[in-house]
Amino acid sequence: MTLDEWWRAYQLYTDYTELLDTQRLDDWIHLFEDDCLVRVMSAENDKAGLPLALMRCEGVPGLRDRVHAIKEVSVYAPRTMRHVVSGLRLTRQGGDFLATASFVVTQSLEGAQTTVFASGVYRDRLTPAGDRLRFAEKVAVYDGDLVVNSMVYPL
Amino acid sequence: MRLGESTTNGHHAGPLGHTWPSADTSRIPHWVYTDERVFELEQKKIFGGPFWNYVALSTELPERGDFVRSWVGNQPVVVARTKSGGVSVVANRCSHRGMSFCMEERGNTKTFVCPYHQWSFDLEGRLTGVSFKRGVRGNGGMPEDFKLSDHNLTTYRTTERNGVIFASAAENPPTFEESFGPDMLHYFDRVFDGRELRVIGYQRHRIPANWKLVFENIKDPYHASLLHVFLVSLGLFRADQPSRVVMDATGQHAALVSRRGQQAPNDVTAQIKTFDERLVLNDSTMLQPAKEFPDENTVVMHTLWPNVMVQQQTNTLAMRHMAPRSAGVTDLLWTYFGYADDDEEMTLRRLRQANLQGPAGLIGVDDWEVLAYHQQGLASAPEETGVVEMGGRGVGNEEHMVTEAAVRAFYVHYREVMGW
Repeated sequence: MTLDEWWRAYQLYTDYTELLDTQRLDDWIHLFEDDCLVRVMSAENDKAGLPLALMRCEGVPGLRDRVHAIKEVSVYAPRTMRHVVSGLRLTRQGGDFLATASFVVTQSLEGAQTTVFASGVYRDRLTPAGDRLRFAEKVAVYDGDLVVNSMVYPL
Repeated sequence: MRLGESTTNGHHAGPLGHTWPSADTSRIPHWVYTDERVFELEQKKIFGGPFWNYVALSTELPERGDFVRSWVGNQPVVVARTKSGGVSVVANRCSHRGMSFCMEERGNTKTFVCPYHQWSFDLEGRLTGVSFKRGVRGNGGMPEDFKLSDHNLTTYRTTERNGVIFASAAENPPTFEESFGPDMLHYFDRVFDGRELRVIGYQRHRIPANWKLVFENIKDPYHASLLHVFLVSLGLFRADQPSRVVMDATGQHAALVSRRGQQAPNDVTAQIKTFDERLVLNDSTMLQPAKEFPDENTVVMHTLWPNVMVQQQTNTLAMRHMAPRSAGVTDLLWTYFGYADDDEEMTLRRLRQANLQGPAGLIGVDDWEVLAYHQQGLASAPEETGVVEMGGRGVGNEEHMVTEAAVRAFYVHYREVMGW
């Protein structure tokens, strides 16, 4: 693993959290491969080998549907989410990289205190695209069984 | 007593000094959702009453000794497959000092042992051993008249029908079949037809709203065809589609039944402010249906008093199990399932369609967000009342969605059980 490779992965995660937290979701989609698989899973299902995700987006079309729902369709109270990602580790697999990292996501509803919304681990596959990396697969496995009411934004 | 009649005339105070604000159930007082004393009374009379509470699917307990934690109202229980192959449901509360002894969500065991003082119980809840019962080297020990059989775990009556396990705290509840009646059994057996089930995953969330709001949400097709742009615009569930609201003779159970329609504007969609004929899915695989039931219905939302909703939305099948925590908080525990003979394609279809519902559902989010704000509004004025008059003030079955009849019927039964 070269420092340059690690730096490119670090940039990808920085772009991911910044674009998600500032709700620039159309730009956020550009961080994914066309045929990516993006899932948010409970640790409970993950440990038991059960395939059900909480959110499941197949490819950029699936991501577009989710983003369209968030921006135009769903009814929800306005909120600010903040992702903190730490402990990024990369392993080479063919031309790709397997990446793991811990995340904590806070949620701030308007007029309310900030709360920890979720914590967990990313288990992602990154693939080179020009001089950058993109997500070919992203799995966010959240730790606590009980989601705080509703999950509007992906983890 | 016939459905729709009430034993109270609306003027005499009932339990807790509360008075129902109307003779019929076209009015619902806000205090039923906000008063913690009402919540406590519901735990005794409803979840602890002569009714069948959903606790688990049989397929979660395939082997003898398998157990899973669950809830009957706000009471923690453990559901176990016994040595004889039957099912037992015991309170997760040691008869010694009251500790919730089972610390794992699921597992397999020969005995339940409370870790605190090692009282041990068989899977039927009988106390089988107490460490230091005879003392240590002549010191201590239980009194001579201490009898193990006086200290069994609290147990529940159980019943299993076509792979679904229910529990009742009452000594002599009516049979499951008596409780549900032929119309409701028809819809129950439609999904649970005896085929072996297979769990594909769980989803759990804590909704800051009273359990009855969660329940009513699925008895109320009026909101579904307005709030949910996804359902409406894609024609998955809309007021102009063939549909029914069906109840049992008491009003406690109900089924909303509907058939998928087209995404085409008409005189009905013109009244739906949020209808969007341009809404198209980029990933159309998410909603590709496969017919799997004998009838033509594409949605059946079945509310089973007192604690579970059985969801069939196209090919997503799920138990929505309510575990009420307080007047303003409900945990909703989802068990998604298919059938053991599903092929990979069908399982994938169920996983894709699961995007619609649940804590992150493209439709679901609307509900949980609205329920949270509904509870906030109710809590700000517990003395006020809500108006439930869509489709009239009656409580009979309807052949359309523009009605709150199932909500009214629910409260006829609720008032009878609670005493208002």
